[in-house]
Formats: sequence, structure tokens, C-alpha cells
Amino acid sequence: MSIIEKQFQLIIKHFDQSLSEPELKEFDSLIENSGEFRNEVKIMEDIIDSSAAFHRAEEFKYIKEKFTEFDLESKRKPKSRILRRYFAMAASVTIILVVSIFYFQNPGFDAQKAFIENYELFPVKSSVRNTQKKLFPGIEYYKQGNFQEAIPLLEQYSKDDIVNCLYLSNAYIETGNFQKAESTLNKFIPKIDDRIIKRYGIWYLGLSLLAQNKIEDAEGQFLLLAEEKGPFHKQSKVLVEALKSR
Amino acid sequence: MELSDEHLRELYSYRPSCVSYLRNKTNCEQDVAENLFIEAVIDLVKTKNKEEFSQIREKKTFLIRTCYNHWKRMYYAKKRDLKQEDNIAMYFYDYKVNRSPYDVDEYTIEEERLSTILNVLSHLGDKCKKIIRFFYYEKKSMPEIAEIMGFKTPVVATSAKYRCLKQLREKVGSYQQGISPIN
Repeated sequence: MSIIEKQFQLIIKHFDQSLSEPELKEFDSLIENSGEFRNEVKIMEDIIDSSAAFHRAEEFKYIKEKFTEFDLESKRKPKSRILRRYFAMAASVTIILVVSIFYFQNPGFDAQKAFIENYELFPVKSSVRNTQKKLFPGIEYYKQGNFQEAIPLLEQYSKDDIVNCLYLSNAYIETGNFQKAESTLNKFIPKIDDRIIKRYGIWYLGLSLLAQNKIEDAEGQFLLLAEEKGPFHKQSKVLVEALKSR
Repeated sequence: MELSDEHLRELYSYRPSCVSYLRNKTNCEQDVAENLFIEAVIDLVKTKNKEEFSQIREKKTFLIRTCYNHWKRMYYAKKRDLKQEDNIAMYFYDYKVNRSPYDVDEYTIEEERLSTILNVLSHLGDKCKKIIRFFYYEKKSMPEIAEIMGFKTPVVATSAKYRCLKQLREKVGSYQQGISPIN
């Protein structure tokens, strides 16, 4: 390492996003004027990125080994004939019981399945690049499917932007935060003037409710879409019928 | 967050349905689907803390969606030029785990430098590995790291992290000049 200690400190602070104003100025000036400094920043960027990849791969390896262990365990388990017969009978009785209870409570409708079958990510339009430059980093992560990184950036700029609210709520859905998606949409839907965008908002709100098994609330949202022609009219009609016949 | 065997078993029980969903939707191979399921498990573990974990009812839905997202990401990555971070991650899979679901052959990667960094990382002391893991991978804050690792204050933890990164950088430099990083 040929750069001086102070410059190295600046680089680390840059990656930790903890540079003060004067330090930021110094950093920018070094980036502009020193090839050696630029090279050092690149090396540290590689080191930090690689360390995340390294730890993820370690975790991947650990979980894969565990799952292989579970696979072997389930194959090895000794089961006597009597035990097997007993378990088979018990399982049949349980299945009949569960299916009947489920059928009488909720006949013919699986909210999770309906959610999975109907949910598609809100697409990013190419015009976003020019009109929403501030959101660009968030949208880029969103487009890559990296929702964890996209969320904080989208949250930062989502106060007044209606379309951004749809990106943000979809990012919440993709990361399993259905409650946050619900509250974001509930907050923004009344502010939407555009009829088409509003329908998108209602659709995703309905799906977030469905994913949380809030079936009556979800039905209310789908009913709004089923009553009027427009995007999601057909899907909502099918869902409302399924929900009504449950 | 480290998962207990009990939690891992619970997630493992969702594997058959997630894998079959993904295979039906994308026509991908069984081992690709299983690897993507593990990626989704890692995401779930990273997203939720221990308290939240036992409260999530929609784990299966989360896993199915995330598997599918990983597949989409992999599919589109194959179609266009990869970004640097993808290159590193994919290179690492190929180099270290050697069971990558991704195809890395067609991309140009700064192999030598990355190979050096990964080699040095694998030889780093446990304490440094942990600090770097907690901060850059698990995105924990310095006060949290100080508490977990028993540092007196977050400032002490920050200095320790700085020393680890400096050590890492020096070892990468030495390694590139032909000196073993272990020494």
C-alpha cells in the first residue's frame, strides 16, 4: 500500500459513508487528481465487495451441508412396518380432518396460492431514467431484483412521488413485508389522481392483504376493481367470485 | 443471524414446494432450483432478526417469491453485461464453492486480484473475519458489533475494524508481490 495513512482513512470512511464535509471535499479532489488514490479506492471496493460475497458463499455452503444432512437423515430413518402402517393411518385421519375443517371454514380458497398466482412485479418503464433521476439508484436496484438495497433509497424519495410509492410497496412485497406494503399503499392511494395508477395501487393493496390472509379486506379492494373496467378488471372478478364462493 | 437447526428444518420443509414451483414456472434444472432456494433462505435470514423470524407466517410465500427473483436476476444477468459486484459474487461461487448456478465462463473477470482477495480473506483471523462480516455483510451497526464482540465502546470496535481492513489491504499487497498471506 503506497498511499499515506490519512488517505486510507478517507477511503474507509467513504465506504462507511461517514465522511464529514471537509473530508468529502478532500476525497473528491484526490479522486480527481490522483491516479494512485483512484486505484486504491478500486482495490478497497473490490475487497469490501468480495468480503460480502465471501461471507454469503460461506453461509450458502453451511446451509447446503445442513440440507444434505437433513436429506440423509430422512432417508436413513428406520421405520418398522407396524410403525409405518400406524403413521400412514394417523396421517390419513389427520389429512381428512384438516381438509374437512379447512373446507368448512374456507372451502376452495387458498389465499397464499391466490397471491402467488396473481402477483407480478410492478414493471419499471424506460422513461423513468429521465424523469426520476433522483430515484435512479433505487430503481436500478429494483430492476436488478435487489430489493434490500432498493428499499432505503426508495423510502428516502417516496414522500410525494406516487409512482415511487408503487415501486416501494412492491419492494416491500418482494421482501415479505406485507404489512409495510399495506400501510404505504393505504397512505398513498387516496392521493392518486390518475385512474390507471390508482387501479395498480388498489390491486397491490388487495394482494398484500391476501398474502396476510386478511381475506375480507382484500375482497373489498378487488371488488372496487371488478366493478369498473380497466387494468386488473378480469383478475379481480375471478378473485371476487372465488372469495365469495368460499 | 445464526439459525438454529430447528429453524433450518422448518425452512427445509418448504423446499419441495418452492423447488417444484420454480421448476414449473421456469423449466430450470433441479439443482439450480435447489441452489436458488438456498439463496432465498439466506435472504430470509438476513432480512429478519431472531424475534421476527418466529412471527413470520408467510415464510413460504417469501421463499417462493425470492427464489423466483433470483432466477429472474440470473436469467437477465446472462442476457446483458454484468456489473462488477455480480462478477465478484459469481467468480467467488465458481472459485470457492464450485457449485454455482450461474455460468461465469463467458464473462471477463479480474481473476487474479479477486483470487488474491478471496485467498487472503479465507486466511484472516477469526476476530477480523467476524467484524468484517458483521459490518459489511450483516450490516450491523458499530454499537451492535461492540456489544456482540465485547468491545468496551463502539469507537473501539471502529478502530478494530479499521485495523482489520488495513491488515487485509496489506496482505493483499504482499500476496500480489509473492509473499504468503498466512505469515
